[in-house]
Amino acid sequence: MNPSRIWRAVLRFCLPSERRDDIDADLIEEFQLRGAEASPRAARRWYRRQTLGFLTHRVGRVAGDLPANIRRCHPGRWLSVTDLKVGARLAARQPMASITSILTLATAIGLALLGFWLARGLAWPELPIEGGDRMYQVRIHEAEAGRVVASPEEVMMWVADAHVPEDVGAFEAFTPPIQIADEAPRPIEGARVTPGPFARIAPAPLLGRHLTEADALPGAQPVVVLREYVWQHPRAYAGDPDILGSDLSIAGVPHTIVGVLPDAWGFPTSHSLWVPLSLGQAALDAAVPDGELRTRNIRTWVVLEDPTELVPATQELSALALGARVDREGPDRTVTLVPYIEAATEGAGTPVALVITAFFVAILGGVALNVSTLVLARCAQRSEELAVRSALGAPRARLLSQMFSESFVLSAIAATIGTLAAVRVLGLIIPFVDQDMPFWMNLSMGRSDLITAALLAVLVSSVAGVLPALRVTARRRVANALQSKGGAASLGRGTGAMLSTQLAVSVAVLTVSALLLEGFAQFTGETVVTEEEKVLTVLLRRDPLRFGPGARGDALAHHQYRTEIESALAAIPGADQVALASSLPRVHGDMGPLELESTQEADPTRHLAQLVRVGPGFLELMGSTALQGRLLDADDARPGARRVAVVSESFVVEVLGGRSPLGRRVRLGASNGSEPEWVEIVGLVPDLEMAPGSRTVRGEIYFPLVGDWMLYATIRTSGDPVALAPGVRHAVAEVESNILVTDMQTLPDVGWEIRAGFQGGSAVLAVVGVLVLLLSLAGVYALASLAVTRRTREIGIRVALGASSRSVLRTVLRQTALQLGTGLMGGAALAFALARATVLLPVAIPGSLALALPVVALLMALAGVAAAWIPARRALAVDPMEALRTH
Amino acid sequence: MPKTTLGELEFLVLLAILRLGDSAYGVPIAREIDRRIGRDLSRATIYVTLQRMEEYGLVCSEMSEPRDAGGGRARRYYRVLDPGLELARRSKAAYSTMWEGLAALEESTS
Repeated sequence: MNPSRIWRAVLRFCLPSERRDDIDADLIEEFQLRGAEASPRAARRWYRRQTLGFLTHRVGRVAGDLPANIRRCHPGRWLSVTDLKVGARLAARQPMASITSILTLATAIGLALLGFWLARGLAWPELPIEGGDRMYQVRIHEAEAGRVVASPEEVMMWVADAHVPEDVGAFEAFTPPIQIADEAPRPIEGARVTPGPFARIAPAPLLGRHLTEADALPGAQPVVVLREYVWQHPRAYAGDPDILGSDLSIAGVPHTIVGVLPDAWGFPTSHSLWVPLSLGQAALDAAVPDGELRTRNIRTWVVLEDPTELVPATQELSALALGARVDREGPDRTVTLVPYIEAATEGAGTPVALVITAFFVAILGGVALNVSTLVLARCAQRSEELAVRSALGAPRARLLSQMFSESFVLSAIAATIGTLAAVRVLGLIIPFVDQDMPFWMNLSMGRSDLITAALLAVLVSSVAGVLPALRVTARRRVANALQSKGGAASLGRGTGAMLSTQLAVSVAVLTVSALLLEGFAQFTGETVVTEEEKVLTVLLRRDPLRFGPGARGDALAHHQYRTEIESALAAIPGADQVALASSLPRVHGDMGPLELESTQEADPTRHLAQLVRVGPGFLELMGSTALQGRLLDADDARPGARRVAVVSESFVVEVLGGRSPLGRRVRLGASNGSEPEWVEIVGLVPDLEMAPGSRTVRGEIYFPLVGDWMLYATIRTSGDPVALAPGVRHAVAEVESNILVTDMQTLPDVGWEIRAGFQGGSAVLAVVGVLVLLLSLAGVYALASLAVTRRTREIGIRVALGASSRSVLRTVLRQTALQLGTGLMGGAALAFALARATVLLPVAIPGSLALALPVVALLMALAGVAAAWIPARRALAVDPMEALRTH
Repeated sequence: MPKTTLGELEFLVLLAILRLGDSAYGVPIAREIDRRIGRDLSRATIYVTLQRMEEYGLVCSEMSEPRDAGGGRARRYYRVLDPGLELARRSKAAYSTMWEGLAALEESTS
């Protein structure tokens, strides 16, 4: 047991560097002692208290080093009730400006809060399991093939014989069709689990009992445990208190319901039913050779007593794996233990969280800077008042604290609105995603989020209120303000730096938003399929066990099943074309390693490609034509036919480097120790975008579809495709009554969940983009015009001395252009850096900055030039004597 | 100005080190004080006190060899130096001198 990583990081930060390691070690030792003596919860509370103690000391040490005049400004002075009242009165006096600032800040704080909330769940998830931080998944890597699936023998050995880990269990995810009462069967994500270890990590059942070892014995009555939401679902059991003992049909086999687990539990990720996993020798013997068990993907988890036992546990599991191996001469296999969540999310959480956080922080920073600009303009008007107060003896810290309080009024209101809006948005989203999210993601907004909101409010107040106030109350400027008789105070060169910084941040945020928008638009756009709205698609799932033991490789049974389905669907009135395939555009189906035969005696090269098995006529139905060679036909799919394939254009570019694919040979990665056959490429077709946005897949390859237990059927019609739905159900039922018919939709609707996500993301980006754009334009205009306005007197003198309008304008614009140029260059550099950071995102963002960057830069530059030009022209139009008298 | 007596915390920590002998590192020091007088001092206080006493030359510390258990972490063991012992004696004498003859205190403790 270890303390939370965040608290430990805070503690280490507070410790003096020369004592960091040993004090940290002492505290961990004591934490573990306390965990053993009292409870892990008490130990965690104790650790947090100690960390806060060290933090207090650290703050005290830093404060002790500060100059006395700064130390005097304790929080009470920075936020007095009187100042807050004055701030509220001032805000009420300028309603439009205040409302704009509040709404802008509220949007930014709300978005930042959502970003932090999302990032927190992704980057620092904690398993809600006792000992979750000591839970690992076992992985096996092979020297050649990379990560491979553990064999059932290995899993059996680990579960039965490993002694170093505290507990070892195994699970296998599956999606069986379940049938409740007379409803049509539908798929639910479930898991087969080893009963004992599962019961030890799962929470107490709401109803009934856990699975037991006896449930997994051969010949035992099939039983199932359900998740709360299945029990509560109105179309399932509607919370029936007598659910225990009733039967549930899973893949056609009746299972007795023996328990209900709470919704907070979705092990292994977001699963909703659990049945016992039999790992005994009897189960294995029944499935060998080449049977069901051997081809399954059974995963193993271990719980360690202490993280320090990682090495001995790995060594023990490696030794057991070696003992379990049948092919001792095969390639070297390495066992590793990966923290459970990292293994489940493939380690994608942290980089995504960092990108999200960086993006939202950039937005918040940009907005705060912009609001700060508006406040600066307001401060400039009050510079005389501040100067007089300063001259009468008000310390600068007092003036700053007042400005801070004033802007805190605005940001506190904004933080409240932003937080309430974020909570409301979450309330709308959560019911839709709750069951599909990994069970360790805590979706509720907690105390830490509210503290974040409060900190954001203080941060924004500091940026928006104190920064401008610091500038206005600088001693030199106060003196200037006192000498000048009214008008804006001189704000110095710092205004230029501020203008450049603001421009840089705005350009970067806007450009990257535009880049992401452009990328998302490509994912949500249409595919290359001709008249895709005329194509009906449906997913057909046959019970895999119906093929019998070893039947996954039974080509004849598959072929017969496929041709029967094709004939039945083709007979539906109105069906013009019918074809089957293992995947569809935008479905992100199977992908796998492909080996390309080398022509130069060198080692063959390996590539990861989208593997699509297509029945006769599928490519034609999609509107594909052969760019080279030919398409696949019915003869290619016959058992025993010559092995051929067709590849897509991107495959040729990515894998073959643009060389002609015809006649080249590829083969799939080895599986189950058998040598795969070489397949000849006979044709080239356009990409069907089977996996848009994928970072790993390099092109598509289409093999002939012999048949499979899970198939997509596509039917093209000249009429209304939805009208074919009853006919499809009837035709499929005629072939076999137990086939599960789901996901019936037209082709444009395929993958709508992913596209809805992208569309939602695009909407947020568009709103944020428009907001930042408007604010930036206003901010740049305000700063640039302020800088020119304060030169009105100088312009008057120059005109009085005989300077031409052109030369005055040139001087004014030259300075603005310099500031704009610096800002734009900084913005471009920042935008390129952020665009590069998008490689951390799980989807590849197509497009470049080539279009977005110049457009954004031009808009900003125009705003800046206009902001300098207009006041300069106005100043030139004023009579020089008048200008001199006024300023 | 050189120290003439020990502060309360310093006194407690120094006595705990003496009591623990060769096994005086952060964890048992804190536990010894808690066990004997029922004060669960914050660890920050204890480590800051230890560091301060080291700076005064009252105690010294050295790292142990990395241990097999506990993830191979080494511990920092503390030892009281002669000036520390001397100051402890002097502090006790000072407290005793101040105590003597105070009837109110004698009564309350009897």
